[in-house]
Amino acid sequence: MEPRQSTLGAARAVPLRTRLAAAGARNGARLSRALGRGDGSTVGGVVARRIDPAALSHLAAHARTALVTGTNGKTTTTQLLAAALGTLGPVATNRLGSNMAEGLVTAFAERPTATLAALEVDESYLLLLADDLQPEVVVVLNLSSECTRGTMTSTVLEQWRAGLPHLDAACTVVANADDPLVAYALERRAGVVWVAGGGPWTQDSTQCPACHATMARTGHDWWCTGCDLSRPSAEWSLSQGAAVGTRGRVPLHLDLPGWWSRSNALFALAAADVLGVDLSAGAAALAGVADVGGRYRRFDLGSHTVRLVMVKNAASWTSACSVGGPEDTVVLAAEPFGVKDMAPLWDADLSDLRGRHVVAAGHRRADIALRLEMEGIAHSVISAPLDAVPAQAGGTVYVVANYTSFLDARQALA
Amino acid sequence: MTGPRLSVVVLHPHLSQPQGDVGNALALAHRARLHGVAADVVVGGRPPASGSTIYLLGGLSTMDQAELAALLRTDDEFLDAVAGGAPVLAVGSGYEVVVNEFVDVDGHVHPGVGLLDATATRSSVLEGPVVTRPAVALGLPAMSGFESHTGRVHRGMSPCLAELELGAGNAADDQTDGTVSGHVVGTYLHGPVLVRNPELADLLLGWALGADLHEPADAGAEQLRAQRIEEDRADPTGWAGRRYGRTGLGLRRRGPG
Repeated sequence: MEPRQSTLGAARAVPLRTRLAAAGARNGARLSRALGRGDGSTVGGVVARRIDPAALSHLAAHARTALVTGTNGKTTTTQLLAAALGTLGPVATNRLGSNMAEGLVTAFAERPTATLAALEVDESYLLLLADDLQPEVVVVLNLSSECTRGTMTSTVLEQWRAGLPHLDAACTVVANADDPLVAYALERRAGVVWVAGGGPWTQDSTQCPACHATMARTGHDWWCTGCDLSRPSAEWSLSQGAAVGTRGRVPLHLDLPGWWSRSNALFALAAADVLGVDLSAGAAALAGVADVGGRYRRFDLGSHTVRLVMVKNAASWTSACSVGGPEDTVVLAAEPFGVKDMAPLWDADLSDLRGRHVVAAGHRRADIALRLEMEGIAHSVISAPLDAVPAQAGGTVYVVANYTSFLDARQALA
Repeated sequence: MTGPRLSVVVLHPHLSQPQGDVGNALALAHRARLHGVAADVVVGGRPPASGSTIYLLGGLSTMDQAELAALLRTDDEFLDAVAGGAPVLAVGSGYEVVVNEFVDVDGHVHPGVGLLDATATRSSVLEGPVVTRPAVALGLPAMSGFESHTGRVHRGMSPCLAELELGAGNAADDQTDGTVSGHVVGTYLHGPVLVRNPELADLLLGWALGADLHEPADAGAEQLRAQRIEEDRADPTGWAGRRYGRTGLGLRRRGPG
């Protein structure tokens, strides 16, 4: 019998029960969206797994899969990787950041013809999901503290260190050589493709995770002063706006701001390379990504260009401070979000804002202003973030927003 | 700036899950500057050989607590400094570690560092805002902070830091938070507590420098504390601000922010 929808063609080998589950996921997601209960990617997956508990491994069996994990950059890297893999064929991807089993089922259900998958997975579910999905590539971006999460950094770190060395030998791990915690987690894994991921965040690794001795640093190089743990040499790095790998160098023309986006692109290219993507074609595909679920959205306000950046933990607050150039303005905006809402800001390092045009905004502007004052960073204070825009001389206005402020912004711009 | 030198040392941040507590070091350095004292912040390292030192411990209780306690119990440099009067502010996980004995998150009992005469046991999660009553003997006003812990601290002979208007604090025998012994202060208040409550920062600085320090709280800190106390009194869940505090983006104005 010919499948009713042509989209089921490639999925013919998928068991009937799984196909019904996938249809359930699509309908569940649609219903959830229609009811205004969110994007539906979680509900859809819940429905599918009720119908076929093994839906995920069945659906994934027909795709060459890459998993992306880490505290920061999962969603953006996944979207960049999906764009690069798109040069080879249809790609299943959890575009909305729904990164546990249910969201992954929905990602496959919504692209039944996909022969490739780029999926972000929650750090603490990585090993469990890798078991189900048998990925060809696992990208490990970074690991840092998130005080608003229930999961402890050290718990994830020990899970990774125990489990990552035992991933199937056919799976290639692409990992950040610049993050000592990632290197520690992968110390016993051979054949890792190391990437010079960069970044200013060192607070979670001022001391060695193995022996607690002080970590020494010069530039991005690092080594433990008490044991053998040191930075692995990286195959992939960024140099003068280009990604440099073992196969040569390819210029990056990204439409995403910040050093971290270039780093995310480097990981995406390294992972795409493992799956056989032509690097020039892959790099060209990355240039088409300008908005990741509302993050980095660009809009005009009067004569100014405004761009959103979402921050959620101390490491991302720290990174966001270097966004743009000296002529640009950085509006730090935060809305309430429970008792810990401003804790990440206090753990962050804001020193990159020194000498820049800085504005504190949102209902939590008193916290932001005091934080800036204590670091000796000149700034102005305003209630609503976009009220700061007209007064700026020129350049782009980056609104660096915490999660709730970002949601408000995305809703207002929808 | 000349005169006395001060180091603020954040101990073993990699063994805590910071809850904004790194900001306590910034607050101390900031208040020290107002008092004309230069301060260096050392995160996860060692203080220089000379000058006064204030030690900070913070974060959420994790499975690393036993390791943290073991490191501190055998750290002669730290223990000698504390015995010599160096102030310690131990928040959250750090508070539980510096008592005589504590139960870790897996239910195992460990010897603590023994800087405070108290024991810590383990129970259900307590998370929410805290407002203290003024602690006159220590010269502290009503303080603001938030707590997030599963510990219960049973004090022995050491007095509390403050009685509570709102929140659970020690959550063991009475409506109090914290324990004070000599120049060692343990508390469940995050916030960071020294940012919102500069008077406590001044108390620690005074102990470190051997001086009685009195400067008014900064206007910014006063404003922040007043805002949080007002919100938390209105809704002790700590989520009140989200309901009435949204400023909007500025595209569609919803009234004064």
